[in-house]
Order: sequence, then C-alpha cells, then structure tokens
Amino acid sequence: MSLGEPSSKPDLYVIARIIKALKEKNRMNKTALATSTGLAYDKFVKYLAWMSQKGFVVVDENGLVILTKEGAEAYDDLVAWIMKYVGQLKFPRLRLRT
Amino acid sequence: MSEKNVKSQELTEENVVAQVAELMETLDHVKKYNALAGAFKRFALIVLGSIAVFLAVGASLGFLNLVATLDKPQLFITALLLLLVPVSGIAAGILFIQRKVNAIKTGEWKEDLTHGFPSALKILLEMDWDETFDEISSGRVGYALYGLLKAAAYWLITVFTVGLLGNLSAFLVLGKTGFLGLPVWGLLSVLIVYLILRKDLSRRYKQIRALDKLLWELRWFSLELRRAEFQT
Repeated sequence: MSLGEPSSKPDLYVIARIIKALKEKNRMNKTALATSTGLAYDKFVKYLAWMSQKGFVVVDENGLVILTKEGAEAYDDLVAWIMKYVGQLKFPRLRLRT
Repeated sequence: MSEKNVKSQELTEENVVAQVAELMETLDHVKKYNALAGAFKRFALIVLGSIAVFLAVGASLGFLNLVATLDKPQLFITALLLLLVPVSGIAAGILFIQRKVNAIKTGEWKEDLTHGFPSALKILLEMDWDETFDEISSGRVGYALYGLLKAAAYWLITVFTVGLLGNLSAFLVLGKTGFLGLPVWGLLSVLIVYLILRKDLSRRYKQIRALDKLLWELRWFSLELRRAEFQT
C-alpha cells in the first residue's frame, strides 16, 4: 500500500498499531513510534502524514506525536465496527473423536 | 440471552481479542478434522487391505481344502487368529489417524494475539476465508466417511466373530456347525454394532452438524466483513 496514491486504502492494522502505541504512551517521538509499530520509517512517515491530514494525530513543536480526541474516537469506532461483526459469531463445540 | 452473550457484545478491545481467540481455537479444531480427511485415503487403504487379506486367506483355506485337514478346535483357533488381521488393520488405521491428528500444530496464533486488538484485527483482515471454507468442507466429508468406514469395518469383524461364536456354541451344545447362517449373523451384527456405536454415531452426527453450522456462520461473517467498509 502506498498512501501517496489517491485510490489506495490505509491498512487498518497499521493505523490501529500506531493509535494503540500512542494511547499507551500519550506522546512519542517519530522514531520510537515507528519502531514500536514495526514499520519501515519511510512507510511510517506516509501513515503519519495521512493520519495528521485526518486529524487523528498532531506533531508538536518538539517533534512529538500526540493522539487527538478524533484519533482516539476513530480507534474506538474501529473496535466497535469489528465487534459488531465478530461479536455475533457463535462457535459450535468441536471435539474430534478418532 | 445468557450472561456470556451479553458480555461478548460489549465493545471492548478485550472482547474482540477474546472472540478472535475463540475463532482461532475453533479453526485449530478444523485443522484437525482436515488432517483426518487428508489421511483418510491411507486409513481406508490400511483397513480395506487388512479386510482383503482376511477374506483372501479365509477363501484360500476353503479353496485349497485346507479346512478339511483341521479338526474343529483347530479350525476355531485358525478362524480366531485370522480375525486378528482385520482387528489389527483397524487398530493400525486408527493409530495412524491419531498420529496425523496429533501432529497438527495448534495455538500458533496465541503469540500474535498477545499484542491485543491490532493483532486481532490483522488476523481477521488477513484470513484466507476461501481456504478456511475448503478446510471445513473437506474435514466434514472426511470425518463422515471415516465414521462410516470404521462402522462398516466393525460390522464385518462382528459378523465373523458372532458367526464364529455362534458356530462354536452350536458345536458345543448341539454337536453341529453351520447353525443359522450368514444373513442371520449379519443382521445380528448390525444390531450389536448399532448398540455399541450408538452414542459414538450420535456424537459424530452432532460434530458434522456443528461443522456445518460453523461453515454457515463463517460464510456470513466473511461476507459481512468483506462487504462492510470502515469509514475513517
């Protein structure tokens, strides 16, 4: 995925990892955040730009990335969205007998 | 609605992770069914091979008129020893299946899920649903065929065991063999095998229904997940 291309969609997993890391640490510098999310730095920068554009994160004057209220809400929405589907699954009891 | 269901509807990260863990555990079970289905051909070969050997040796004894050289006790002992061939075949087949099933690695996703919600999300989004459906379908068919072949093999062994014991009893009590006949022993064996395997067959049927249900649940789920789009 390249977020530079207008038609491409962001990887929700990557966004979730970035937001989760920021939720846990409140604010992080870019390098630490890229490391904690396991992304290559150039890819991370593209995600960060996309998230800043969406208003999910801001970068302060010290270069620290901060999660915004919108970012936290987007994460909660993502959890709710997934739970809406996965929460309805009912699993049968499987016990293989040979 | 049960307490568990109410709790699972809470929109927390932990609940998503717990549901995905349950999904993955269920799919681990599916892997085992699929391993059984994959090993079924060889199981059938072992069991049918042993039955073929049993029938071939039995027929040879008759055709070569070797039976006439044996007295009654020797004949019963020979028949009893011959019965060990299909019994061993079934035992070897079941052991083979058990080894294949136990060799399946499970819980490899547990490490990934320790990273919480993002990992659960990744698992769901990267799941190869079509492959999963194929695994459930083939596992279901393989499991049904395995149960049927095992029951048929049990029946065949029971027919000969019942026939042997029937003839032995008739010989001891009435002093003659050839009492009743194969159709009677066959029907009696159906009844005996049914009584022995009744619970087992019922459990197998329930498991096949459970796999069916799982297939439909996951088809619905994957369709909803693919159709839906998260709006950022």
